[in-house]
Amino acid sequence: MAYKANPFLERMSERTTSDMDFARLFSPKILEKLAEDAFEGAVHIFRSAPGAGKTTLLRAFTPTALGAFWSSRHIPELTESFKHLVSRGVVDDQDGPQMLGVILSCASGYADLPPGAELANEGLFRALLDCRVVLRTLRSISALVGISSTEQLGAVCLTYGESAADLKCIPLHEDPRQLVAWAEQHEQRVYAQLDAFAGHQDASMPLHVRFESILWLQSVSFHFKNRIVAPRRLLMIDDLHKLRRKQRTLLIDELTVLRPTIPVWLAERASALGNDLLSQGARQGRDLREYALEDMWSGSKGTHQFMAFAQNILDRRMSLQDVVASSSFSQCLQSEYSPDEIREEITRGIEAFNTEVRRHEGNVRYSEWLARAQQRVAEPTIEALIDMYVIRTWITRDEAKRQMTLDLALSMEELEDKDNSQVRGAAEIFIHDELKIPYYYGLERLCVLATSNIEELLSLAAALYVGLQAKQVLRKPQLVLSPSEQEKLLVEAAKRKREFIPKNHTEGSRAFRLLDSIGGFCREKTFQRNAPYAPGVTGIRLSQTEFAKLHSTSRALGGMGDILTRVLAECAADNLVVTKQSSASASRESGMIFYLNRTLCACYGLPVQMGGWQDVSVSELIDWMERGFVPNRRRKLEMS
Amino acid sequence: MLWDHYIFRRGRDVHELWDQLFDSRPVRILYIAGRGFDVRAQNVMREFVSSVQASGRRIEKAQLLLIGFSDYTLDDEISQLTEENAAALQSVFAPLGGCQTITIGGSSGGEDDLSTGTALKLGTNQVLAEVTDQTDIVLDVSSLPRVAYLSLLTSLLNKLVPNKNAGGEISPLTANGVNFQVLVGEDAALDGHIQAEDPSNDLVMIPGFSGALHAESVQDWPLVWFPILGEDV
Repeated sequence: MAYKANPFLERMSERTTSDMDFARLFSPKILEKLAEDAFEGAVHIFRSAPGAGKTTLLRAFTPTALGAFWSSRHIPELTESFKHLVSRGVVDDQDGPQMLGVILSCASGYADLPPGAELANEGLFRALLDCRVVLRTLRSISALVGISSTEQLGAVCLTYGESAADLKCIPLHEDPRQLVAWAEQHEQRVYAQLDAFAGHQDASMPLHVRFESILWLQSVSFHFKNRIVAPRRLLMIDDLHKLRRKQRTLLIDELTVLRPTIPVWLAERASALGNDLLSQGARQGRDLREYALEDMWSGSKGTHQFMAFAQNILDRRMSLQDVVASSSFSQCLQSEYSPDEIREEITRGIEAFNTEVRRHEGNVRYSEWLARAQQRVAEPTIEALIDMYVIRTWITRDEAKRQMTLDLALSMEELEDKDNSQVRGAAEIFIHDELKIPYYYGLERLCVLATSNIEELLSLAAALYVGLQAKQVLRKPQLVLSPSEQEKLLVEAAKRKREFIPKNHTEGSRAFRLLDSIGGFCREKTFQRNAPYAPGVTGIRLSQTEFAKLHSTSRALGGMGDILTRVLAECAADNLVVTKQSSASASRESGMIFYLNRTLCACYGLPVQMGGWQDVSVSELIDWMERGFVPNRRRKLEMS
Repeated sequence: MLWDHYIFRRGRDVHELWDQLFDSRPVRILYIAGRGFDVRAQNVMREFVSSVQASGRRIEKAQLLLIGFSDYTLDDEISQLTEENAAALQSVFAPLGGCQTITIGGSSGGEDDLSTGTALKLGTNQVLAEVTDQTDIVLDVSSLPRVAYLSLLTSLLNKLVPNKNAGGEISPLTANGVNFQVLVGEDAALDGHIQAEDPSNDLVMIPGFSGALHAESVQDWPLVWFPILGEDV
């Protein structure tokens, strides 16, 4: 298979991936994170940026995938997935799949149905979804019991519970073949009308007054060889963002009102929320529950869990290839510099440090700190260089705040007492910036760069794998990428991502300018000599007051406020910025932080930690979006 | 096959065809063109107008129908070029008749997020409503997006030849005496340099063919794609 040339380019949601390959590639870590109540009777909405794994998650519960998990349950790499599925009651150890997963995509022409709020148009939408749910269910039950044709479906018998008596539009046939015929005719009638040239709506078009297929699916029982099969049900409707807004609202509202007794999973891109993405929190109720996939991996615990999830995915992909003799991706990524690799840069860094601190020679205040630095010179390692940069930062900070103090020597204890973890983080990115010593390398940073998105992780890993393939072609003795090689490949991939922004958004040029401006602004704040926001600034914040200006009815911003809202919402929907609420404190009001996507941080040479942010105003953002960010130094030059 | 019987002319041969086609008969023209930024449409129209204006033609009426698109995001420079091109096209056609603009996109039924398929269908229906008693319908595809001109082409053919399998002495291709021409100012080398930067990678179906690909009953069938491998084929 051509895809196997680079196993990181394969997308599990694609149909071309066989169910067996899917089961092998599927990481069970996502099942651990799935909410406990996700299998309860209710409408569950899964929302994320593209590539976060929605369709992959849904596919795991289709009959053929469950069959693959069950038939391979004794293969060591699938044991964990199987256990999770058993614990959720989806699969039985002895009897196989117990849940009938029915998956449909909203990309199949619903948006082409006639627009308008007329009852007929809504009825047509319901009718089309209903007949498709019925058809897909019967195909799914065929797959579950191992039937390959409609004719053989006669071996399955349908019976209905009492609640089925309420069904008005879907016939209660016992023979599934009759039901298939009904559903196919129903669908053909809809499409005959839709495909008619210049036609008007036919009075005989099927119209449903409610989404009856959900009621049908929860009331029907399937009998095969004298036993009931698949007693549990799961309806999965993917790609909700492909519907028109009115259709999407109608579907969610009416499904919720139906109060389904089976779980109904709806999956959509965050872009479906439009501008509401910036204001709407997750809705939770007994009948409607919302989950943002990226939120599963937020917080310090979530970051570590994403790391384990990501590593699991990468290793599963590695095991599919035989170019590199390793089943672990991390083994192919050198996690430390070799002594020779950066010797020259370290020497240069030490010389620069010595030149800079020469002016403090004889200054008793820093004598102990500088003595420690000189001890470290003897051992020219990256750790020693980081220590020197930490000392440089603290000296700069001390100089800035010094007033009329006695020049007493600052002791080593004082240096050690300071919280150095953040400053060490800043030292690393300063070293990268000033000496070009690699920073973006290693499995941990690779996972962070992915910004909780599997597609991004795989794209970055694919770029690294190309580097490994090149080494294989050149018959290099070690198929391991050095930090420099990793950084080169990752930054190139990051640049490709950045360059694609204008082509991928409705306001692409503006989004591009705005993100570049935020990147430039963050650089300006990060690389101040005293590293005031160590390890660096990687986001901006709009306070509530500023946010209110965007929604103000006074229209003080004209149309630009609306455009900025749209650009920010699109960037958030595509994971180009990660939003986070910031709560109020004694000195500031609450607001919303927009962190740059971590891969973009690699483009701008920023640290990968998600910590520092700076308040900005809406008018600044509009200016950046329209004209781009002008660094402070250049602004001063222009003024003088 | 019915569509084997078409007439294809290029270069100077086109004028020869027009000379014969418009000679000594009353002509009622509906000229459909894109309201786009591709200035090559002017050349095509100029050639057509000059040929029709030649002595001996009896133009009873002529109407220019410009097809615009509201949902494209264009740079200011391209927007300006589009306006200039539209004005130029109207001016070139003015000696024959007036101009009307039909815009594909926008909103309908209170919804402003129409699918491309719906927008195309609504736009095509508007164009078909203008097909009345014309003797000659011209579709200039030079500055029309591919999916738009293919939609117009199939819909117009369907209107002119509603039953292509009709028997009898008169061939369905007579189309009740209406001539249908498709014009294009083509430059494969130049076209090859034009790069689409479409933010959407969704398929757009030409109206009339969505059932074949969207129907649930055929979702499990194998799907074979035949990509177009070259522009000038």
